Amino acid sequence: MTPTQRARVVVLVWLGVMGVLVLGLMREARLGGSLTAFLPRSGSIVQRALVQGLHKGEAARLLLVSITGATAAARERASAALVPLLHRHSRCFTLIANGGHGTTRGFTRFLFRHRYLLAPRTSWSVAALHADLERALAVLASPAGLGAGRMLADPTGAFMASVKPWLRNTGPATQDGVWVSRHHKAALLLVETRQSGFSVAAQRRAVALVRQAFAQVAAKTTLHLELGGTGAITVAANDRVARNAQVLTIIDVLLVAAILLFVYRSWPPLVASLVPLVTGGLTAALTAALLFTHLTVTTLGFGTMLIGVAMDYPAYVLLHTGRSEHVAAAARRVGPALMLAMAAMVIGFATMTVSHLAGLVQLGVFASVGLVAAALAARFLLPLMMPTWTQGSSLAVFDQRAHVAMGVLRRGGWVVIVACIAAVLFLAAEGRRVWDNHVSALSPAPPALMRQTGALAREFGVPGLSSLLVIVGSNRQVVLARSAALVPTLVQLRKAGALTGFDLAERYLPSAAVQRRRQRALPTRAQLAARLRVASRGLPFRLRSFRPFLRAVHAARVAPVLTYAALPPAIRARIAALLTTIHGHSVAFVHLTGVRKPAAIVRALAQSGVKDVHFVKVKRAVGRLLGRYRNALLWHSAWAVLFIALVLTWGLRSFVGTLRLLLPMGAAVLVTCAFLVLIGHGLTLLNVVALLLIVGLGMGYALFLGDNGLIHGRRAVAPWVCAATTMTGFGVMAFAQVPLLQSVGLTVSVGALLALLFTAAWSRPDGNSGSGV
Amino acid sequence: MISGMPRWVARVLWVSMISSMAQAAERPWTLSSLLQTLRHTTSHKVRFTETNHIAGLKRPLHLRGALRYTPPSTLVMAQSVPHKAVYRIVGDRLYVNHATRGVSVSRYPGLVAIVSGFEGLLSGNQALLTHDFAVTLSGDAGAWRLVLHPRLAELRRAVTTVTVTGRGGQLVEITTHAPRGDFSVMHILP
Repeated sequence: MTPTQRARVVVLVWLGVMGVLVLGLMREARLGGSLTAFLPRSGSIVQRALVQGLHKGEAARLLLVSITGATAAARERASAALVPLLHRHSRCFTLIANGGHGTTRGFTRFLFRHRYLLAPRTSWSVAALHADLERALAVLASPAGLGAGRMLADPTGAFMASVKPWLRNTGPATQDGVWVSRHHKAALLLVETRQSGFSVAAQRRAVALVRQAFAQVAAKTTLHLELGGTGAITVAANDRVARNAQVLTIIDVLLVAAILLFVYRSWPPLVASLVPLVTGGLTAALTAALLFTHLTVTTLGFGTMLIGVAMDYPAYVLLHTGRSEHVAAAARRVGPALMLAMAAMVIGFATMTVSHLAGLVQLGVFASVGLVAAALAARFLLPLMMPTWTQGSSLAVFDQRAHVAMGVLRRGGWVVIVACIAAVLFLAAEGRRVWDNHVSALSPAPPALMRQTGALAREFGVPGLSSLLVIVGSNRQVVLARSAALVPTLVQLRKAGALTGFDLAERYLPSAAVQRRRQRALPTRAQLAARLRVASRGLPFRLRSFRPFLRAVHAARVAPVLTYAALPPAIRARIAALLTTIHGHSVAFVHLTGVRKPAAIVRALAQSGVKDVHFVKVKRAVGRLLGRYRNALLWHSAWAVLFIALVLTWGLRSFVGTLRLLLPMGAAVLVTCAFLVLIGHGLTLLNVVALLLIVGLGMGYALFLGDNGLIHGRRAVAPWVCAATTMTGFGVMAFAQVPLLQSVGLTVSVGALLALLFTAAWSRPDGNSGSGV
Repeated sequence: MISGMPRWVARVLWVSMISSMAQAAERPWTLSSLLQTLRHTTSHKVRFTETNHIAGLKRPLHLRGALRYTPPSTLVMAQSVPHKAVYRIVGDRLYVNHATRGVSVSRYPGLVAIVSGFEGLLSGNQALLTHDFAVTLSGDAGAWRLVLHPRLAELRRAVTTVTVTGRGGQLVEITTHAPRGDFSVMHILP
């Protein structure tokens, strides 16, 4: 078998194997799109509660719908027509509300039936009852009196008292039976999805269903649909990233191909360069699909970007292939350096696998596996597929130029030191401002949509979550009891102006203890009848008309206390956001609005003596949480650097040689950080990941740039070509409209350039090995 | 109490409607001609007496007061006997006495239907009115009788019928029947 024939067989076998991998992927991979994969998973119950409250809560499952344009009547008709259309998709939506009658009917009946357990009542004395009856008579003797016959079934006004908490959230205004915006320019609807607001596929389906229903309703009108809410943001952010990534990838591929074509001057090596990348990508995807229940879209996208570095490996092999040399021989020569570069990078990426962010773990596994596969493919598979390759003569010219450039750079070694010191001083001066701990920095959501959602949320009276109390306990009754114990403190705080309002589950579902206390306070049927007889003296009431009242009080006395499970869905939906279970602990949230004196709140909570209550400023707490994860990642990275140093020392058999590689790299990372902070990008978690990539990349350049005794017949041009493709690839990304992609692209392209220049400046000049073979 | 609100609003609305209706007495007496006249409604004030017959009470309750309608959407009802109280509906908010923070009318399903019916009346929109009520007009311009049956189940729970009688341009009486046998009779004073 000639090498050419063998190459054909290898290519066919490879294609077959890749085909099998693709089939395996299609069988095994369940693409899950939840963005929460990048949210912290560990931490205290309070922190986890926070994350869960923010992302699994009811609020995140709400789609805010606004219909604008045409006339008010047309908007109202559209709103009314949308409701039954959406109700057909009950598998997707749990609640569809437009302010119409159906919205409230279910729970008013429930509140009326259980009014004596739900409403507070201090006294059942004759005097209190007499006052109630006089009040009732005044209402009956008013223009509102006619329909008030029901009052006789509830003369103490318990029903109104149990409705009261529901009235506090005023919600949107109503016109002609549907919710309208404050300036009556839009009809509003609220749609609650069954699935999490962060589940891309589910939300995409929900958004599509709403749009489809609207299109049906608004055919041939000038009505517009506006959608807000977490789900809409999730979908838009995902589409935006995908769209951005698509366009950029095409530009990226074209530019990189152009560079490689310019260098190789023929197609076969260009195509062969893809072999390691494809091998790595598919192997990594299949491994991740087998290891994790869901493969996130982010992993696929970001991971592919990370292992895009694998394009370097074939370049190192091919560019070192001499004029009369077999590719296999060149691969053998660069093999050790190639494997060392790969090992350094895999160590870097592997640090992600020990983080607590599920998304990062998956990404780490994906990138590590992908790189190992890609490097092995470049080292062993590529020479088999492409046994020989003759370089164009132009390469020698480039090589010569690279040598000259290296000479110039080596004279500028001191610049690296100066730049590094300046960067360190600058970063030290910036202190904490170096880090960007806003969740929004990690969010790829379009800012316009975020604003729109904010505006819609205000119309709906959905509270902006800025501060809350987290109450932890062993079970629901404990946290409800603790909530109840907190109410006097909160009322006092509101009076003192420390906050303007609060909302807590206990208000909608009193704890079992409170309900029992209310039951005990209820008089017996005979007692109540006797007291009513005395209390109604001198008033025109017929005693028999109080029979429903007597019956209701008696029923409440003997009824089992209300539990969460007994609540109708509409009430449960409201409470779900305020009461939840996390890892076996019950957690109640108290939403605070208009917090003005946080210190006073903390003080009052401490004095209240209620246990396990935490005051949380959401933004700051989430920021602190992200900061902690970033710090953990930094520590892991430090360990990674140590491991890399060990591996390098072993590979190079020289400690000084290792320092010569690592120190300029460190300088490159520091200067990159300083640069990013200088132009106003605070560093986020993803920047740290990008920095890990730079370390790996730079290690590759450093190994191939200087004379480390690893490679015989080194070609000075190789790392320059690799750096050029990397910088182009990530440079293109730096022009993305999504801040997240932009920041990572900028980090890597700048970092790669600096790593190249710095390691070149400190690389060991060629000894006797010389260039070319 | 919730189910009580719509009742008096209905009356308020009808008083103002009928009073203005009287101005168009010389036209042919059809519903559309009635509604036509409502477009010209201006600020209006009348006094009234009312008797509430409540099944749970041994005797009927008598009350008295005045009401004023200001286009496009302000209704004020000032009760003077047996106690003083002011009820005000502006747009879709209800204010009781001197309350500065109104309650959304939308809380009261029955009320919503009546307000929308009322707006249908004022705008002269017969389609909207007949959407909410089954309307029967009998008699002639000299002595007429308008019976309204709410179509919406929510509204029917509060009001079974509203009967308005008048003599020419003069509004005489509004009788409102509620379920469970309660009813009230309102006389508009000339």
